[in-house]
Amino acid sequence: MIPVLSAMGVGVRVGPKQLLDGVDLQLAAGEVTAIVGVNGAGKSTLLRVLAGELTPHAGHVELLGRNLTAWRPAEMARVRAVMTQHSDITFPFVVEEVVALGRFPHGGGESLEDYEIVQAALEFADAGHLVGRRYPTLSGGERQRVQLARALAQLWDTTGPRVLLLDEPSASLDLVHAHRTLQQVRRFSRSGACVVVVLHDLNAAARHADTLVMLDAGRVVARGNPAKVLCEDVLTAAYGPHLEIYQHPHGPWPVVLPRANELSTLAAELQPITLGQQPCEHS
Amino acid sequence: MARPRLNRAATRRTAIVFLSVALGCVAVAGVAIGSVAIGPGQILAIVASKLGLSTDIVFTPVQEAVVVSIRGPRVVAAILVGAALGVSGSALQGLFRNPLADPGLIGLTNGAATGAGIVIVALGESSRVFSAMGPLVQYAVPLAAFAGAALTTLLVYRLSTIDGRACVRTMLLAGIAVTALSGSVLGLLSYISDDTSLRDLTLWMMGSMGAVNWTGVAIMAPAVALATWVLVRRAPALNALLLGEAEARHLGVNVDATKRLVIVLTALAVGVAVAFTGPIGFIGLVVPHVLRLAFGPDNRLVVPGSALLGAMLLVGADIVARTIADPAEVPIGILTSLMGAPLFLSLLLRERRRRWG
Repeated sequence: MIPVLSAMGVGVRVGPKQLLDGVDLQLAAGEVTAIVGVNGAGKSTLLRVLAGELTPHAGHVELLGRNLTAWRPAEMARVRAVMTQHSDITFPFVVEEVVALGRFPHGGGESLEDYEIVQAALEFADAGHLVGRRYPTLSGGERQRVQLARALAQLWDTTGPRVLLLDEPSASLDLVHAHRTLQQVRRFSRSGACVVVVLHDLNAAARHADTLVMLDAGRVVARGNPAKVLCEDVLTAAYGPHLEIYQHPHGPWPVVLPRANELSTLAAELQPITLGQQPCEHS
Repeated sequence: MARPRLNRAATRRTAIVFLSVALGCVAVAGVAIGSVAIGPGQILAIVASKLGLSTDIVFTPVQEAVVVSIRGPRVVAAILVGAALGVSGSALQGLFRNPLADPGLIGLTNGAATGAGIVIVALGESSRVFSAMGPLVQYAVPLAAFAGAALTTLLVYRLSTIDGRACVRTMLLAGIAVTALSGSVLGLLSYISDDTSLRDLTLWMMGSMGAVNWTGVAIMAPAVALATWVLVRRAPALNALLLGEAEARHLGVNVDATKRLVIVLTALAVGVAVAFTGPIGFIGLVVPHVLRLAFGPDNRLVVPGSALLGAMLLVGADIVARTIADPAEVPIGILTSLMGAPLFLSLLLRERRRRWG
């Protein structure tokens, strides 16, 4: 395996707090890698370091064997696209104009070819029906799909290795759209893209990623296929004794749920309000 | 299905051509209208004769003098100042990702006013000393205004930049603080100044195109042309910047260079423009807003369009300023605010109705 993107001993510190500590990663083309972990484990920080947005205090990141700092921004933008969680645009651009911004590193987004790529990326991201809508009027989930289309448009016709970095691309999406979106991201990776996605939903990660990287307090505590990472020991170490692992009834994926007795404790706490209304009578 | 993007590029070109032609018409009107009436044909003949071409159209020496030394430089200056304010407003709004940004907001206009105010009062207090310096005095006010603009911009930029990255929120706050500071300096100046310099200061603060001659135009033209040319070329980067700074970087935009260029060039253009005419409000704010309402927020149209529409508005405002109370002249800064503020309010009201039903 030749790594497309690799982190070498990456460490990030803010004041006394070590956000990332000695992170080593090798990421290959054609695969989806999900970065998982509790809130504040350093997932987004790691993604920002991989994107070159944040320069690590220790170690470095290599894209196609070259230190990120040695890339010119315009050159990097042709092989690497990033979708951040930030998706506000104050000015009333229409959806296609936002996606066409993804063609900026390829010369603007004005040619017929660019126009076709924008349409194709929108369809691919399940946002084709939003064409002509003003971006600020979209819902959070619709904005996320448009932003994904923009990131895809940036890499659409790049031949050779390319990297797509996504920070919680399904955070505002309903369950069905979230899975459809991640499925499409997986499809995109199969065309030879190295995809790194930050996810807090362990089940979505288990279902759609080839490799999981579990972060805890800025360190990689486990990595490998979903079945290997989502085991009792790792989850207890990272999340505490709150989770239980099941086997999906119709597939090879692990399913993680809050522990049953945790739920009853929660129900007990809620009892004064909800007691007596629990049984569902017409089911 | 929305229109294909190819048509958008054509729409943009059509809009730019339309605005250019309209500006040309307004400029001719600006030269033609006034207490000495001059026909459009006569204007062309006078310009042609200056270029060494002779025509059949008859014009009087008075008309020639009015065109060449009074209205000509005045209209050209109005075009330059309007373009500077329009293009700077649109670029700053793109940089700050805020439709309310304009040269006044980051303290630029007030900085220029303070620089000019200091010189006006100092000249008034010691005019005997300065009168010996002759033509140097003519440039002292503009130079001081430009220095004031450059200093404020530098100060605001330095205050809000850490590791070469400018924080927009700090920049706005610093702009407000600098504006307050220069406002109090101006207040202090008017308090200590004598009657003559107080009048000069007050008149300059109202804005006027009356003091501009060809020398002023020659100083303004390269600065405004440079700023407009570079900022128009940066319009695609300003579009990408609307996604956010980090996002623009990921798209390969050299964000810090773009930021630096916008700051330096708007200081240059506005500083030089304000230096000759005094602060003229609302052009930088209203013009990009009008274009966005008409054609959408694409900076590839808004930035060059703002230069053209800004120029057109200021030439138009100048015609009104010098004819409405003929032979007296209304200060143009008062006029633009008088026309601009209600226009802006009506735009806000319209948008509000459209959005909230």
